[in-house]
Amino acid sequence: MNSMIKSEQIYLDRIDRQLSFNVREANEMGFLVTTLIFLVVGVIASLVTRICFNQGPSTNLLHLTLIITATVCCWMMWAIVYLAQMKPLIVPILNDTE
Amino acid sequence: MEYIDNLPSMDLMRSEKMMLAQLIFPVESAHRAVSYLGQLGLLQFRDLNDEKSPYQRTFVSQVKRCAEMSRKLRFFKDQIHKAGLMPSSSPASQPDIDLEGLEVRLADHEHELIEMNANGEKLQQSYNELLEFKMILQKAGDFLVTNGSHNGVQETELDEHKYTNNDHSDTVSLLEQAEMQPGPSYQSGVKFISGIVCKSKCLSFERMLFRATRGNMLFNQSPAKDQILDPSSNEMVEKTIFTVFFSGEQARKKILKICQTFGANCYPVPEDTIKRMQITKEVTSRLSELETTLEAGLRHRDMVLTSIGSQLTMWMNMVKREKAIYDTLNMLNFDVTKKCLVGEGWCPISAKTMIQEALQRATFDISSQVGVIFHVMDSIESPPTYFRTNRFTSPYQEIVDAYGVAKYQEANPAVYTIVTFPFLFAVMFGDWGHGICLLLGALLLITREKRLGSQKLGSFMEMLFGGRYVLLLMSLFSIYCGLVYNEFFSVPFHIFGSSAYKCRDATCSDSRSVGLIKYGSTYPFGVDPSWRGSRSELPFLNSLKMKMSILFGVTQMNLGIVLSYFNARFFGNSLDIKYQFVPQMIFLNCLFGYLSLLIIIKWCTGSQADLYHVMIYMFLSPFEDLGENKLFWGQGTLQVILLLSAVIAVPWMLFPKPFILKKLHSERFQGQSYGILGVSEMSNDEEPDSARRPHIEDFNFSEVFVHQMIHSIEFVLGAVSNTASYLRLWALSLAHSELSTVFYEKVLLLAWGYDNLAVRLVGLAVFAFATAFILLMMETLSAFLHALRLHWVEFQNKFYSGDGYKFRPFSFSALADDDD
Repeated sequence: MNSMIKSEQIYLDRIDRQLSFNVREANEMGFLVTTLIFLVVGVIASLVTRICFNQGPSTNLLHLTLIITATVCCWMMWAIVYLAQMKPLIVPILNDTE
Repeated sequence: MEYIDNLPSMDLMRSEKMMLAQLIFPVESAHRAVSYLGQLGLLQFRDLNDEKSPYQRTFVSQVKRCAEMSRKLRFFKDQIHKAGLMPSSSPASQPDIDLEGLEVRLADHEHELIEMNANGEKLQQSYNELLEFKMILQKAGDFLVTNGSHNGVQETELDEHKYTNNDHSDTVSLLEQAEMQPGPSYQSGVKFISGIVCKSKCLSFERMLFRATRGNMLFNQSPAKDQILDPSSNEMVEKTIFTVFFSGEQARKKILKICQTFGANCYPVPEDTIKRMQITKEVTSRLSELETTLEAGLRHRDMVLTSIGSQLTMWMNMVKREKAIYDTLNMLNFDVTKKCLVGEGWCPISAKTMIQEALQRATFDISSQVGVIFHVMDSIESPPTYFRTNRFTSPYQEIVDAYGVAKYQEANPAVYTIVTFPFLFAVMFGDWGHGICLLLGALLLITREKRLGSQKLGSFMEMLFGGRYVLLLMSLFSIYCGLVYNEFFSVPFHIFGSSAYKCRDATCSDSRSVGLIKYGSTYPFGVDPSWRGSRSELPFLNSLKMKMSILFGVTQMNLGIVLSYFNARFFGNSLDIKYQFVPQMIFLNCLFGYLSLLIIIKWCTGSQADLYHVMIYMFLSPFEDLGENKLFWGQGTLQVILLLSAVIAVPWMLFPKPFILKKLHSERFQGQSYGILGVSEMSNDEEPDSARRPHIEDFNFSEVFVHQMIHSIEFVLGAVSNTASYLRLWALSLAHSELSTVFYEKVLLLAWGYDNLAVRLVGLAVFAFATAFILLMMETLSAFLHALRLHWVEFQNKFYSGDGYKFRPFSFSALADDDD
């Protein structure tokens, strides 16, 4: 009886670890994928600006700088919030009134 | 590194290259050349006659004439305004009307206007008097034919005072007596004075008369039908017509004096009815004559004013320009031969050809034989700073300039401010509902750009209009941050999928005690909507936002230090790179860069380490075992290394630089004491005020050392205080979120809970007002101010010196903006 429970325990543990690993992987995959999306959006934005607002090399460089800065700022904001929620130390505790 | 050098230079990053030019104008073409340069607007003249007072300068009489003309023009503008005429738009600019002709015309017009005004006043005064006389004739006649008359008296609008009622019977008998005995009895019997007095003074007037005549008088009054124009205050006042019956010469004198005091005008009214009617007819006809005359006069004046008004703006511009040209000519010096004017000015190197072309055009137009000489000079003085901005970048440049204008060719923080300023604003403002409101406002301003740009706005609207592109970016970033914080008027939405949290079991029994559990992958974009309304929302969000503030702060400060590296590289200052940039980077990143790293590692691993503990004990007991606060392998050793680096960095940035500077200075000026002969070879006969003269600097070691010490201490202490200062990003964001929640829950939801429509509407109105005024206006200003402070102090003190001066070229278009 005890051995059955123990083996069940081991089995459940393995599933748990597998699930949590999947979750972890999903977390990291999500992070990488969205980071790539930010990168792609930034590149597309700079290309579009180069095509539509081509006003000489100095202005082009300025536009590029602005777009890179904006992309980096926006990515940082998202990444910080995402990372903070990946492995939270506290969880939502609902209010009594709800 | 070569790649960076080979990149095309960004105009906005460093100010334009300027050159000091010397111009030599032949006297006859000076005026025309300066005028053309003013139209071009690319040269800033240096004042070579700085020490002279305005009255010692060459062209002072012309300046005075221009000032006199502008005074006349202001007088015209005033008159037009008083007459209530709209200033009409000027027709297309006519070619130069010469100044002397304009002066004569203006003098003529002024003379004419003054005369017209004086005549008009006189006419108006006589008109008033006649009008008063007419009214008195009518009303006094009524007084005189009351009750005693045979031909039934119509009740007039007599407003007799109470006590006169008692005397009324007496008067009647007196009058009857008087009528029955015409002639001499009028001289010995009751006499009267009639006149008109202001309604406000009537009561005290009456009392005064009563006291003066000891009650032996009868005072009849009746309000005048129309208002009269009071010439002194230029407005219509109500007047009262009165008649005073009295007897005796003394009483007459007293009454006349009292009338004078009270400003009551007395008019002789004949007692005879027929005569009265005659006089009334005369007065009426004269009145109508005067009316026509007055009207004709007004029309004539309006016509003159309109004709002046159509050319007024053009004349004003002309006079302003002439005055500006003469002011500029006053800055030039006559040379030895007195045939040329010599001037110096700063201009961008790129504008050289345009300036030369303008000067050639001036020479050609004047048909002068001699051209204007234009050549470049060297200078010791630092050139002015000139950034070429468009309507999008100019408000940001103004924001940076408000703190300090960039030194010549140092890195311009405006390039990064264009993005980071609205972004930091948005971090503090983050609510996409409010962001959409701001966006609508910004779009409104931008679509009405042309119309709002041409009219004159109030000072608040002008600031708002000037910053419309800043507002646009602020709103766009606010929408983004609002989506990240997941707040729409403080309400979270499930836009990006379902929440990552759910109950531990099906009954959700312990959701209020232990809480939910994270079962799935992290919410992909932004803060999970399950957090809103939970009890542990604030601890989580506070921790998140504080750490976020530190991360942003360390990043922006690092950017600032990197910009100081590029500045040092541009100016060829390798001393700064080795002994300032490197130790600064080391110090900041060993401490606060390490903290940022710890934050990220803690998030990624989900460790329970206490970062306060780690950071504090890194200083207090660096060699102690970390125990449960260990985040990664090798942390203890790394901490010791970082601490040692930071400690070494402080004397590294403090000591070497002053000593090396001293050595360099003594090497450079070693033979200087023998070189004085070389200095006197320079031709210093012409321009005593020129910027070319070099001077030997003396090197004060103690001053340099103290300066370096202050700089280092400022940096070291500032590293802690500036990093903490970035926590205002957390504080304002929290305040905004809490205010928003309160208004939503305690106003809107509360009001919506009732079934009554009136309560709901009131609640909606209160919510709208509170959101508009407190959240949209006050919070916007507050976040704007704090983001500004973060840029001005924490970001810019890492690299910006900001002690330059702005390039203000002599330009006619700048004149139009200046005055008013």
